[in-house]
Amino acid sequence: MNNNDLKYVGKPVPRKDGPLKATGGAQYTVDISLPGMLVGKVLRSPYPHARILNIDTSQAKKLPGVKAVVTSADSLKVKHGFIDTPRYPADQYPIAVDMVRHAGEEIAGVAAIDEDTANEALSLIHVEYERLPAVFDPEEAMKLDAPEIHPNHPKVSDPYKNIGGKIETAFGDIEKAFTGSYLIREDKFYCQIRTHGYMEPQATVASWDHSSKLNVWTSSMGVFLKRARLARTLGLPFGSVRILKTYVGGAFGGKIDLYGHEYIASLLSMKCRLPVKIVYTREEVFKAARHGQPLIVEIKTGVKRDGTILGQQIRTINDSGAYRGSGVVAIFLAWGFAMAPYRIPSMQYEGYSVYTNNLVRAPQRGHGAPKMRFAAESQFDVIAEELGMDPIDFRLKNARNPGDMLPNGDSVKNFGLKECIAKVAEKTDFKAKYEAALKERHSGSTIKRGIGIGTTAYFSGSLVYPNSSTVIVRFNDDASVSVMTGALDIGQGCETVISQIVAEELGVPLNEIHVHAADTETTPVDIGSWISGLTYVTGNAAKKAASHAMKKLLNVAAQELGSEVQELIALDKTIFVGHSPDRKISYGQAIAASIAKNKGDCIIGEGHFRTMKDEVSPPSLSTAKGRWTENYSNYAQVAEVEVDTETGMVRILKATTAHDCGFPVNPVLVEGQIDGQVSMGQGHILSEELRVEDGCVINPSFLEYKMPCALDMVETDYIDVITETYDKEHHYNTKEVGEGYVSGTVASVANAIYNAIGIRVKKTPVHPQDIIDALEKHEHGGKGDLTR
Amino acid sequence: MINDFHYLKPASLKEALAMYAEHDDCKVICGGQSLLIVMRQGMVAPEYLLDIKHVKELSYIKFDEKDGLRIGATTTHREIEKSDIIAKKYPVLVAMEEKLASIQTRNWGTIGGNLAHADPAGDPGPVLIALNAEIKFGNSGGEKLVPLDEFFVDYFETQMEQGDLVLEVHVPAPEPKFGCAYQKFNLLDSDMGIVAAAASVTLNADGTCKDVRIVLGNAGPIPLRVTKAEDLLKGKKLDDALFAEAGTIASEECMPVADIHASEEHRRHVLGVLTKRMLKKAFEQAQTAA
Repeated sequence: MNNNDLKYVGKPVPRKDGPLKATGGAQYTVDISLPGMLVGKVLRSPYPHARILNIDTSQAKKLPGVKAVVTSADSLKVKHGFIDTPRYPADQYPIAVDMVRHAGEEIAGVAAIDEDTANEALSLIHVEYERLPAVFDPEEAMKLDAPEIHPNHPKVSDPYKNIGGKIETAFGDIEKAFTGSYLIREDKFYCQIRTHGYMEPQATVASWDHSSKLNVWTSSMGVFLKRARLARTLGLPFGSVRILKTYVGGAFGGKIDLYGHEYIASLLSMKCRLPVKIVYTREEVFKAARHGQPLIVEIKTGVKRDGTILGQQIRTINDSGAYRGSGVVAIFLAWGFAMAPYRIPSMQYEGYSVYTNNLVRAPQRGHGAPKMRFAAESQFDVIAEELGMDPIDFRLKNARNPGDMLPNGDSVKNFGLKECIAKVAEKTDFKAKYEAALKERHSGSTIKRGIGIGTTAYFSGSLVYPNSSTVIVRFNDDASVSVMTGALDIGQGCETVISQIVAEELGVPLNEIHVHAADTETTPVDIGSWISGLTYVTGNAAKKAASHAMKKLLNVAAQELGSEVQELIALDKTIFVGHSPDRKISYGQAIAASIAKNKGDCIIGEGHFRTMKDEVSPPSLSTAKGRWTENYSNYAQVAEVEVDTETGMVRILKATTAHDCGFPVNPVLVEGQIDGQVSMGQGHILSEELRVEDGCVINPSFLEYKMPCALDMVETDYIDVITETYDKEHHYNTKEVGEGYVSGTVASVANAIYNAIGIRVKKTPVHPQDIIDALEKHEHGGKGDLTR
Repeated sequence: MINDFHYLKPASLKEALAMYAEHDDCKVICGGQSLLIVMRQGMVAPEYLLDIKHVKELSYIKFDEKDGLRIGATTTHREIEKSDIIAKKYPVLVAMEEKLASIQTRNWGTIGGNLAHADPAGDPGPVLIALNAEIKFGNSGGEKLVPLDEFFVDYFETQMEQGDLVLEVHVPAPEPKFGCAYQKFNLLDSDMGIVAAAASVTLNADGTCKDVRIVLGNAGPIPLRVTKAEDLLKGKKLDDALFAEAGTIASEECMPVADIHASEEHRRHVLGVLTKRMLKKAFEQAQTAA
């Protein structure tokens, strides 16, 4: 089928949840209200590293209005972790047991009749601490004389301390590659900690009901992972824990995994048998929730005289915070973001995830890609300049071709990176602007312009629990359709996309598709709104379920019309015989006939889908061996900037993105994802930074944490590079579109700044003062790199 | 968390002043765009809140060719931004308002509340001082009119005493050959300025500088006039070299304080640049003014 014949898929249809959200009708967790519901609050450690000698809750318990107080003594002391494998077992209690390793760690919880009482109860809990020496810089924490936060990982033999995880991998012959290189560059890049900036703070309502079932509404990125973690830590069977859908006000990686408050709300409700609601203040989000990962990247690259990359050696250090969190995943993924987009015949990679007394880290949109691509793409430009090449030619020379095999066994398949690079360069008139900026650099003007490019490739769904999706499509008697999916729409629009696919398969209008989503009790399992696989995995499951239902419907119609299924055409909820269109039956009549004549079959379709169906397990987090994903998205982004050399202010004038997301199921949602990521990348490179002193966040509000708003949005432009098709007969391949672009903005702006003023950016964010200092250093004959 | 308080809602100015005189531990609210932030932080916890949002007598914009502009204290930022007469006679005020926080804040926040809050990083203060504005405030016992220049005393402190309400801002009619410009320096559009500079220039018929005012935002405890830099320019034939020199003097004369967003050194540097640029911009306006 030609994509042009599609009626719903590939169309920029508005979001199903738009009107409800815009009119205030969408129910978020904070809006949940249950009879007798209590306010829960969490007592947190004021110290970054301490032994808990005693917790006295007796006074708090006596306060009128307090219904329950919990500490680790009330818990089963079961550890959990974002990673929980034999190599990387869970290392964190959901409520502190005897030790705290970061400021803000959960020590106790209270449930009371109102917020005032709950806060007062917190102040009546007396904790005796023995403070311990703490360490906050990962490179300091690696030194042998640093305080020990956790023992080294048993399989890591390096002479370092506090190593929570290590990944080592290599292919080709790196020694030979460097020996044969015409030019070798070594650089080191730093990134800050950035928060996710979700507008809806963390929030949970837990209700232990009369049938001994725990019902939980929580702002998350997927209900099945939450159920698994909660059930395990609470010692309950999965069937006794129900996570229900609520609307989610953004997550960006920050609401995956189990959070202490979700466990504490549950424990409190189980103790006092009343519903308990915990809602973070914004300050609590900043000071105690998990944020992104500040990766340090050391990168050494060797090239031939003609610009061909021969080898690359990379070392990353990740400050994983007080527990393992997703720290070891970030160093694994960073490797992938280095090897996927470009042909690098020899590579050696090692990554360290280091414990510090900082907050625990969560995945964050891009999960390592913005940092790795910032480093690699910056160094590409340095090398290109030293070789006398321009940035576009250098990239076109080294970018992967369709069908290239990656060292982990993945094929990049229909890879559009070269087309993206060529098209974005052409549309932005890159080469002419690049040359013009170089000439302008030495003119008298105080405002300089520059242009830069950044690229990446990104995975589209991988194997992480719960690994697969099942969808049920059910015809109702009136031929409207109910779709049951475990997918949770966290603002990206997945319910709209799933509806489009079902509408396409069934020929039923979008407004007659009703999605019942994200309830662990009544919807089938789903991969979740993370690892960038929902449109691919859940979407294909929905497609299979819809076509299964449609097949049943057509079979009934064929019986009723006395024809063959192949002769039938379905249009506007009516089925015709193709060669004699007056022989027809409505969907409603066909459904009634099925119930009457097919033993009550009311026509339910079921579909399930798993990415990499032949792979048993996810890739190794220690050796990086094993396949990663089936579909690699890729894109090239060009930023045009203006630098005020007198004040140091950098403005992004325009970001143009050429993207290969396979094909856009909903183009307007794709553009929304790109815009959101441009904005996030803009914050990353120019303004956002979680400022931490001795493990405590000192800018815990949006007044002091500078996240770009609507007024700061830069002009964006898009170029579609379509490399896949939607075919009714087969499963389709879509590619990631929700997180990779952050890196393009970061890298392209850094390169554009260099093009404008000749200052190489080696750390983020770039403050105006950094620009002024670097320019001064430059004037006085220094190298003028902008670094720590 | 915001403390519990008693809410007072006067219907007229007279009633407002009477209520304010009666209640000691009382804060005035007229939108709460500044007050609610510090109340939520627990830094201010008054027993009474006096809400003058509904005192319509204080909401007006009047202009007279001789007398100039009079803006009532409860006039919102948005009303100033959207005023045709202000756009025509004092375009710098509109430009300033367009970058003052968000539309939501401007819809609800007022000019009187902003000035009474006396945040040295506030936008209206420097611009209005550059425009040579006066401010009228008073209590149940009487009124006082002072140059805005003298109104601010220290961080979040003004000449007003307990019981005083801001009543009106008066901006004199613009002289011929007058120009005024304002710019703040911030990482995000419409955010509070890390620093800011306003400058006004009045030229004599022969083109020499008759008067000049340079007022810096967030460069000290109050909107700060840098008089040494002003003195350099008065009576002179202005040019780029003088603007640059004035900028250098301003950067030495100001007293900014470092915080996590910028060092003192960088603030001084940027204040110098902004001073130079705003002087040039105001000068060019004055040259072309009717």
